[in-house]
Amino acid sequence: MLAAAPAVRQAAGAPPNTLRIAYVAPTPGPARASAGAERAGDVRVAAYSGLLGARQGAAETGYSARLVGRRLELLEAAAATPDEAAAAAGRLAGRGVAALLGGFDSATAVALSRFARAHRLLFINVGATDDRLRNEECDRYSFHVEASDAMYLDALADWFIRGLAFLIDENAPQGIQVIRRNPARTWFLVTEDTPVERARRDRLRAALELRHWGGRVVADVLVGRNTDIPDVLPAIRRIHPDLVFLLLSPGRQLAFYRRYEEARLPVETTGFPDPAAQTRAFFGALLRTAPAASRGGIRIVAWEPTFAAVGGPQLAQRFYRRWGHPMDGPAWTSWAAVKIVWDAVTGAQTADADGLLRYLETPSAVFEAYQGIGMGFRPWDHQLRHPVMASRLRAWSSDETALAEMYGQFPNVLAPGREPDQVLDQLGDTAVMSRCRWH
Amino acid sequence: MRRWLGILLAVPVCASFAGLAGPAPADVAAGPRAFVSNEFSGDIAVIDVATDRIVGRVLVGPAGTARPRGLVLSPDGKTLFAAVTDASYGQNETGRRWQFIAALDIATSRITARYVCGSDPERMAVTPDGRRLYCSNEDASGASVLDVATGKVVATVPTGIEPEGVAVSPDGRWVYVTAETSNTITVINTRTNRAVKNFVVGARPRIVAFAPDGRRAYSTAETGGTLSVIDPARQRPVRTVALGTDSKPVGVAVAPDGRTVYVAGGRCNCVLAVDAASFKISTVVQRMGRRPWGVAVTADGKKIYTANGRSDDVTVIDAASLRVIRTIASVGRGPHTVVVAR
Repeated sequence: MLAAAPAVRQAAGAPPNTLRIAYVAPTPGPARASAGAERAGDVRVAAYSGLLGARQGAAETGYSARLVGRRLELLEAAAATPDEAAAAAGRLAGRGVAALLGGFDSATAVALSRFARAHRLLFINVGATDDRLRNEECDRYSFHVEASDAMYLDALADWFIRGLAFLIDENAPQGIQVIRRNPARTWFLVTEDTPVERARRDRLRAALELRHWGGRVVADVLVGRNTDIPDVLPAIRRIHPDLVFLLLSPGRQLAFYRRYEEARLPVETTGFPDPAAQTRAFFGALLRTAPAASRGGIRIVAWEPTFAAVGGPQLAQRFYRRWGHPMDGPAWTSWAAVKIVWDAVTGAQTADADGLLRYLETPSAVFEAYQGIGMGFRPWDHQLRHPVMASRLRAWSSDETALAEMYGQFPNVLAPGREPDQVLDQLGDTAVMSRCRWH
Repeated sequence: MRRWLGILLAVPVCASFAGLAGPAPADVAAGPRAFVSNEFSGDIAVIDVATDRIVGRVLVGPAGTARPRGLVLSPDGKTLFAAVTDASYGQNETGRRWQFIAALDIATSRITARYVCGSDPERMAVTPDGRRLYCSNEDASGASVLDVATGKVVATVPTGIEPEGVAVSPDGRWVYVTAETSNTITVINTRTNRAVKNFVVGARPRIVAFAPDGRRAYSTAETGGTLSVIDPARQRPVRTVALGTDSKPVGVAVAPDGRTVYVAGGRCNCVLAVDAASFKISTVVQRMGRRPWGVAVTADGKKIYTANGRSDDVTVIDAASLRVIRTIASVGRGPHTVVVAR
């Protein structure tokens, strides 16, 4: 077959006509919903999903690449610490990679970002939500497919305060179902006493004060690593807020739910969607640990595998057919990152980092990843503009896909009369809010 | 399914379709007809191009289960082919039984045959000699080649991931198939039924159409908001026309004289008229139905029709003035594709 191989400038060290992408992530852990609840919140669960997503992306993109006479290779490395991640990146970079993907915790993402800058390599963050990566720690060579803390928190406020979500449904009037709920006006925050969670709490408070009027924090409890969670429960019972919001690591969210179930408190609860907390393993653990407290609950995710529009079912079927595992949030970000790198290489006609960087910063660099809207990177912090989704927990089931269902999307990607960038900039920090100054 | 076999026939608009007041029973011997597939009501509306009135309706299958989408006419104008898929995306056995190509005899408005054309057929093209039909198999990264005389698939050709738009060159030598995920167009040699080339176009390419003289082909990219201009002699894109990322272009049709390319903008609810010489947008037709995906031009080039998925209607545009001259309401649920017979 004659192939239309674009005249693409190679990354140094890669074989001819071959695009190499490096993927550095924590050693994958148990990913099944049937795995023990004590491990379901581990970052390695997210890493496992992410790895499957990257491999799916490499398989599909590799197929597309072969059509036009090129090859795509995914080079993988497992790393348990930031130092190990940087060392692994060093080994892979020597093999001529065009981009480095990874980052499931802030420290590792920072390490990979700094490595990428030092070696003039693109770093695509697929799993670290920390806003500092888009602000104080921003870097010109770093791009973020994973949503930021700010994006997730704005989506949470959209749902729980505005009481509004959207569901693409071509058979509905205007092609969209508007999902409504009664506003949760009074919030009880339970915040783990760590820099990451405190920063999220501050961003949430700012969101409530500046953008999502009508919601207010009625209690704000900091819990240390040794604080016993039941200590919080009497206050929740006494104040009776509309919502208990957990700014806790996924593992501690599970511990909280366990105590909460025992206390039989009736207040609606949700937690921050760290990548591990977006997985079916986590959902399964929640539903088994606290069936009454978690059933029907809304969890914000980057991707919900039961999304049934704009090609979502096709993507879900392809992924499940290959892995026997539903595509969850971390899988989608890694899959999308691989696809974006390939699409950028074909669009920019180069695999050179500086060329790719310039291309990704152009407004016309718009990417498709089944969210129903074209997505590009914000020029002020290199965050990919993308919608996020709401999953509604159903009931424990051995069918992992059936553990939750698509409930809504944020924002309304079909909002008439507006450019996609304007629509998507409703989530996250705008240019005037950004503290990013390129190094 | 068995009970549906009995009603796979033309149903003239009458009391059995409450809410569609006025149109007379189909007079199939009259002038040119436009056909509109309705993916959510499971039927095909028949429009008299002279009067722009709905004159008939063909039930393909149960609403909410059978989804007629892509339409194409045989070169002799006697048969309309409809690509039917199921609303379950092939997730269950019942759904998969609603994946076929329906052949509608235009003279009688009856469905005369159903062909299996691979899984999840979405769109099609027929060769100028009428002997071969090429359909895209959305969930199989391929296209199937159907021998119309025997009703058998004689070849399958690998394409990009999620193939959709299919077009055959006027000389019958090449078939182009777009792929939404791979952002590619696959070129199939119709003599060998082999893919001879693939090339990259814009993000999420949907529909591709050849100019009548075969010297150009045009492909929309829904997410990229672009129109790729392709040189079939060199089998590669030679130009990209930016239509705006808020346009979400899907359908594309070329005027019979080849001078204007009409693009249906699904998000802007508009038709963009692109000058085929300067590659500039000459006019944006607005104030029309919602989410136009399908677009077709009459053989005399005087009228343009769009299938508007979210307003359940068809917009009729005067090609000379590029103004909306009529809205044909209540066409069906979810108009998807429109074709105009000679």
